[in-house]
Parts: sequence; structure tokens; C-alpha cells
Amino acid sequence: MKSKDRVVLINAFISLLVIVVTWLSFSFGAAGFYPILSIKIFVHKLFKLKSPLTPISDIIWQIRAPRILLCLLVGAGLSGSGAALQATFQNPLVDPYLLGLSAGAGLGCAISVAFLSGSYTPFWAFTGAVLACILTYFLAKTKRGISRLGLILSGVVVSAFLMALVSLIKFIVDPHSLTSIVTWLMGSFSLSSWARLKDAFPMILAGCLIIFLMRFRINLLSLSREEAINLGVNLEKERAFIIAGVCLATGASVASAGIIGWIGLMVPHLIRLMIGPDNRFLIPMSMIAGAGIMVASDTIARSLCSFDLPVGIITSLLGIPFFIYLLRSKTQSGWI
Amino acid sequence: MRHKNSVVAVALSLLILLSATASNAKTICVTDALGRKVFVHEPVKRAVFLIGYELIPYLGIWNRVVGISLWAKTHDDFMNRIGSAWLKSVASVGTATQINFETLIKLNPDLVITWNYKPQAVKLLETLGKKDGFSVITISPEGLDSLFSTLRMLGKVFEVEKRTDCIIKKMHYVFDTIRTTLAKLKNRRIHGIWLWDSINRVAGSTGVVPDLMNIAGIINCAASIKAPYPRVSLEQIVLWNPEIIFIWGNANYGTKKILNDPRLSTLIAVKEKAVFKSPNWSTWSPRAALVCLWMALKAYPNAFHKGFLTKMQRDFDSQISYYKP
Amino acid sequence: MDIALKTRRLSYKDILKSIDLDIEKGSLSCLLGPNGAGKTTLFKSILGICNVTGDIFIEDKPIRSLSPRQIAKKIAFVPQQISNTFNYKVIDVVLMGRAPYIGIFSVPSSKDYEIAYWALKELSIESLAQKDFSSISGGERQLVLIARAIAQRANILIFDEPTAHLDLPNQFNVLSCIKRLTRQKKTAFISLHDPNLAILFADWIIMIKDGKIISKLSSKDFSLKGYLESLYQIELESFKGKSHYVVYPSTE
Repeated sequence: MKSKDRVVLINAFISLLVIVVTWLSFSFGAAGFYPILSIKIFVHKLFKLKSPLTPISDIIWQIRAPRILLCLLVGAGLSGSGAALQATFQNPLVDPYLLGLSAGAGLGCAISVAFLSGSYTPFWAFTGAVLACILTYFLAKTKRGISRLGLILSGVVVSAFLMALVSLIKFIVDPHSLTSIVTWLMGSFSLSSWARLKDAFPMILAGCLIIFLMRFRINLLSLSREEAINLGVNLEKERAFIIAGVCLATGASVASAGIIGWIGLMVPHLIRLMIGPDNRFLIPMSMIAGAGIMVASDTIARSLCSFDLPVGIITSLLGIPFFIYLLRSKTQSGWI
Repeated sequence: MRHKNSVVAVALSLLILLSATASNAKTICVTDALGRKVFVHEPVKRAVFLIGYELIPYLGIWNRVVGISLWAKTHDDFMNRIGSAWLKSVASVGTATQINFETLIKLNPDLVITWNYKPQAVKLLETLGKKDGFSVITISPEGLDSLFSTLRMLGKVFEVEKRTDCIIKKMHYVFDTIRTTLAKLKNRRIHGIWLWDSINRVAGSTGVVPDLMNIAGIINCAASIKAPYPRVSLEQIVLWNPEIIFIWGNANYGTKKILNDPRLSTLIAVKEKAVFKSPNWSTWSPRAALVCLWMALKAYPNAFHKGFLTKMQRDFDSQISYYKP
Repeated sequence: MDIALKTRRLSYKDILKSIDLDIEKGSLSCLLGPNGAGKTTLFKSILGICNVTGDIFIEDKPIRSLSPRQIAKKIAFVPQQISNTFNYKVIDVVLMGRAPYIGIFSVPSSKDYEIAYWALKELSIESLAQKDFSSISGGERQLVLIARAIAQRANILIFDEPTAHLDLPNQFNVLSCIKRLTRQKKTAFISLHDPNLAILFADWIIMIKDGKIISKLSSKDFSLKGYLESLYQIELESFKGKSHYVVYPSTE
């Protein structure tokens, strides 16, 4: 089978799998398993049909639907961002929170809960994420421009500093607000709503769109500095675009669902193992697979027991064995 | 001769005094929340409260407390209302989760009351206590019975058993009144949930709140979950379909958030606007009884005579020793 | 003769000292010099990677007036070897040569694919298209990088020691390929260590030492030997072959 045909087949398979997982997630929950009803509801809502719906349909539409759609968005945003950054920084250990985004969002949340009672936490979390990213970017700027290593180090410094501020706020805040901050930091989709989805959607979509449109460019950014310049790449400008895309997608993801680890790190590696490192295919497939894995993880998190577990626990349980396998595997998922 | 008699008299007086002091100095043994057998040297004169500080006014032991949690100073309305002058003068020793050990040791305490949340911190306190001569008691009431035994234990430790007995009696009076009143009602018991810091964190089957709900005649929808603060999916809450919803008094959201949430619009409690935010009375103090009464009043408003809650509030307030500098 | 590439008073720190250079269009110019003479730095300066003082002209246009994309359309650089972190396929490596013609938010079109395959065909390595870059031999990798430069459709091609790490047949293969390109009116500027290969393939031999150009001679100029001795500070002997002569270190 030709290599290109193989890639197309794998892509089709993954996409189909994600559609099936999403449909099953809509169908499954504490209220029961309703595979046909879930399709009916979507058809009704899509074509604005007025037929009467059962009480269960309200659960599916008001509670499951925004939660699953947000999972898809956040999964796509984090995975696409992770893939883009791993290529741009030529580093397999990079995740989308590299540029201080998670720490910034955490600080925004902590400030909102501790000092701005009644304010809309996702807004402050997103603002925190964006400001942290801007701080990281300008801290890395030197007379000679902005280097990859400079950005990584700057991200580490900014993250450490902001997380220290979060710890300080956690200490001085009253014990009741402390639980809210800690819960938010753990990452969860349990409070997803249409309102939260509507807030997150434009930012995550914009970020993913930028990353998707620049997928060929990301191949070039993964080359050495000399090669990239020789191929006409304006390194600073194009990296800034990628960072802006990552900032929007990841910032909005963290703002709406908290800090969910492993997805942005693991999914690009998984897809690279299957279809190689060409970002023209890797980026979109990472987004699709990330969306599906996030939905599957969240469905497990809300169905495993009577508790609504933080989804980060499930993604960690999936991510760690995968990385052990990767470490021991001969093929290094498209890395040399 | 006269001189010799004086010496003997003084010596005898000293002996009597010493023996009196010796007989006052005793050691008692109590079992704390971690099941530890703790030996406490009586009388306790320099206690540090990292948790359960709302019990201080009820026990009337203002002058026997030398250190307190930061949270009492910054976030406790009750303590600030009745003892703000005292709060200003007493030292802060950090919080129950982040203890300032240096400040604590400097206060030369003879008893430290803390939470069992961080066993490593308790172990460290124990070690320091053995060296510096103070006892460590952990408290963490896991239900009403546990709350009563905590009150009795502290009464024993501070030698104010009569006071604690009186308080417990008052609490029982409230609970018995509620039970009797509800027994007369022929209504079926209504289903409800108690929400903590977020709209999907409920009171499960363990803790003081579930016991209070039970006495208040409310069937806890989350009773099947054996945990004090489980987080559940909103789907589960919709399936339970509670008829009444209580929100924890210290939550940073109010009834509007529940009433206006489209995801919860099908709940009976929301349709009938039976969503109430509790007054911020601690359930780890005698005022737990008032919380129970408040819940019963909300669930069965016609069952109790008007003013009963206010009367009981006054009654409980009369048990408090207000701080006098 | 038309000048494809020109430098005037080109200086960079202590490494390049006021270099004046003219590279003729359609020629194969070879840069010779001992290690540390400044060959790679000179190439990097021309490509805009180092911040230099002095002037560089590409087809009479000052380089400062050109954007990185415009420069990339005029000059293609073939490095000695690439340190790829990712194991791209050969066709994807060659496609990257089309980058100067593709917008930031665009992907290669079918036309770009055609050009990439055509570039591979020019070098008779189209069978390598679907192979992983890391799985092919050193010589093949060099040819793939040349194919990328061809796909870049630049008229000026700069090669940094293209024969390093290659065995003899591959060295000849690669240099023959470069020579063929100059016959198609491309300008090639390469650096080599072996003066004999320079004499065999280049039209012009430019010698650099301690950051200065010490001479520029035709490869057929027999006074080369003396300049080479001065360049490498070594005694050489020469031998006249059928069409070229060969130099080698004296054994005495």
C-alpha cells in the first residue's frame, strides 16, 4: 500500500472512531443509555423541529451536549497546540502549557475567587493566560531576537513565578474559597454549560484555525534556524502567529475546563507514531484524535462511579502507560 | 521559741499549699478524632486552637487561649462579632493546613487543637509536643454523635463539663422539638440536597449535615454516596430531582445561580423556588442545631410557630460568654 | 559577464574582513580555504543569518531591500547535512523548498508537488520520494537537499561542503549534478576541501584565509599551485592529467 494511501486510511479510521465515541458519549450517562434518542434530539435541534421531547432529552441536550461539545473543543485545542509547539520548539516534552498559560489561568482563577467574589472566573482565567503568554514572550526577547531556548526558559520562569503567587493566594484566602480554587485547578467538565461553550468556542476555534492554516509552515519552523531562514521563513513573525494561536486555543481551554494534563503532550506523539511527523496531516489529526480522547476520558470520568471524577485523573492514567511504551519502543514516533 | 513556732507554721502552710496544688494538677486521657489516646495535663491554661475556634465562646475559655488560626481572624464573622478585641490581642499561628510551628512553640502552649486533615503535620506537632511539653488533640466531627463527643471531650479537657452538658442539652432540646413536631405531620418527607462550594458538590451520607437533614425530616438524595463532600454530575442531580435545595452558608454563589441555571430548570426545587442559602453558622459548633431548625422551617414552614427560630437563636446566644477585656 | 552575487567591504566581527566578491552568472565558483578561514561564515552572511557590515547585492539588488521570502526566491542554500529533529519523507523535505512561493496560511498545491517531483527526477532520485529521509544514504541525502534547492527555483545556489561525508563516487555524482545545473544557467557557489575537485569542476577558484579573500583564479590557471601553497602553508607537487592537472602534498 502506498504511504500516502496508508495515511489517508488511518485518518479516515481515526475520524470515524471519534464520531462513534462522540455518539456513544451522548448516549451514555447516569440517566441511562439512549443511542437512538441522542441522534433524534440532534436532528430535532438541527432542523428546529417541534416534536415533543421526553424529560431525558432535556438531560441530553442541556447537560450532556454542552459538556461533550466542550470536551471536543478543548481536546482539539490542547492537542493541536501541543503538536504545533512540539514541532516549533523541536522538543518532545513540550506541552501546550509551556508558555505560562496554565499558571496564568490559575492565577486569574485564584484572583477571581479570592478577591472578586461573584465575578466570572473563566473570563479572568483567560485574561490571566493571555497576559502570562505575553509576559513570557517579551521576557524572551533579546537584542538578537527570540530564540526557542529563550522562550522555553522564559515560560518556565513565568510559570514558576505565577504558581508561587497562586500558592500565596491559596494560603491567605479563606478555607471556603480555597476548595473552589483547588477544584478548578484539577480540571473538570462537570460544570459545562451552553453559556460556557459559547464563551470558549470563538477563542478555541480561532486558535485552532490559525494553527491548522499554518500546518505547512510549522514543518518549516521545525527546521534549524539557518534552514528556515534560507527557505524564506520570517522566524519571529511566524513563531509569533503560532504562539498567538496556541495562546487563544489553550487559554480558552484552560479557562473553561481548568488544567487538564497529558492530552496536549500525549496525543501528538500517538498520532506521529501512526502517520509520521508531517504537520499537514499531524495537526488536523491530532485535533480530531485529541477531541475524541478527551470525550472518551470525560465519559469514563463521569461514569466510573457515583463521583464525577476530575478528567485529569483519567488522562493521566492513559498518558503514563503510553509514555512508558514510547520510551521502550524502537520507533520514536517520528523523532530522529 | 516564738521564732521556732513561726517557722513551723510557715512550713506547714507551704506543705498544705503544695499538696493543694499537687491535687489540682492532674492528667486526664482523651481519645481524639484520629483515635489517638492523648494525655492532657490539667489545668489547661495556654491552648492553641487551629480549628474549632467557634467553640471558644461556648466553652467560655477566652483567657485560656493564647494562639488561634489565621482564618478565625480574617474570615470568621461569628468570632469577629463577639470577640474582635480578643482576636486583635491573640497571636495567629498560621492555619490548620499551614501551621507556623515557630510561632506556635514560642507561645509555650500546653494544648494544641488541630484538624486531622494533614497527618504529617499532626505527627510533627506530636514530636514537638513531646519535646516542649504540650498535648495535641485532633478534632473532625463526622456526624452529630461525633460532634457531641467532641464537645464533651473539650468540656472534660477544659474542665467546663457543666457548661458543655448544658449546651448539649439545649441542642438535644432543639432536635427533639423538631422530631416531635414533624412526627405530628402527616406529610410525606420531602427529598432534598445540600450543596457545598459548587453546585455539583453535595453532602453525601457522612458528616454532620446529613444527620441534620435527617432530623429536619429531609430525605437526602445523595445518601447513597458514602462520602462527606462528593462531586457528582449535574445529570445525577437532575435525576434525583430534589424538592428542596440548601446551599452552604459560606458558598460564594447564591440561590439565583441555581434558579437561573437552564440545566437545572426541570428540578421541582427550582420550579417551586425551594432553593435556600443557609445562614453562615458553623456546623462544627452548637449552632448546628440552629442550622437543623432552619432547614426544617424551610422544608415544613407551617409546622413550627413563628419566632421559634429567633427564640432558639437568642437562647443559644445566651450560652455564649462574650469577651470582656 | 553578468554578476549574480556581489559583496563589498563585507565584514563580520573578526571572522570576515572587508570582503569584496563577484560571482559570475552561470558559473561554478569554488571557495577554498583552511579550517577556520571563514567559509561557512561568509555563506551565512550572504544568506542573512549573521549581522554583517558592508553590502551584498543579488542580481544588482541590495540584499537589505529584499524580504526573507524574496531572498529565498533568489538564493538557495544546501547545507553540509541537516540536523532534522523529525523524520520527514524525502518528498516532504523537497516540498519545503517551495516555501518561498507558499503563503503563511497556505499549503503546497498540486503545482508545488509537480515541481518537487520534477526536481527529484532531474537528479534521477524520484524512487526515493516516499522513503524516510533518515533511512537513505549520505550521498542520497545530499542529492535530496540539492533537489530541495532546485525546487526552490533560485538562480543562485550555495553549497557548504557538499562532498563532506561522501565516498568518491558520490562526490563525483554530486559535483557533476551541480555542474549540470550551471549549464542550465544557474549560478553555483560552493566550498570544498579538496582543491583537485575544485580544479576539476569549478570555473573559478576563490581562496580565503583569515577572513580575507587572497585570490580569485580560473581553475585552468596554472599558477594555482603557488597560491594553494600559500593558502595551506604546505609544499605541493603537481601532475598534469589529460585535461586538468592535479596537486598533492610533497612527500619530501
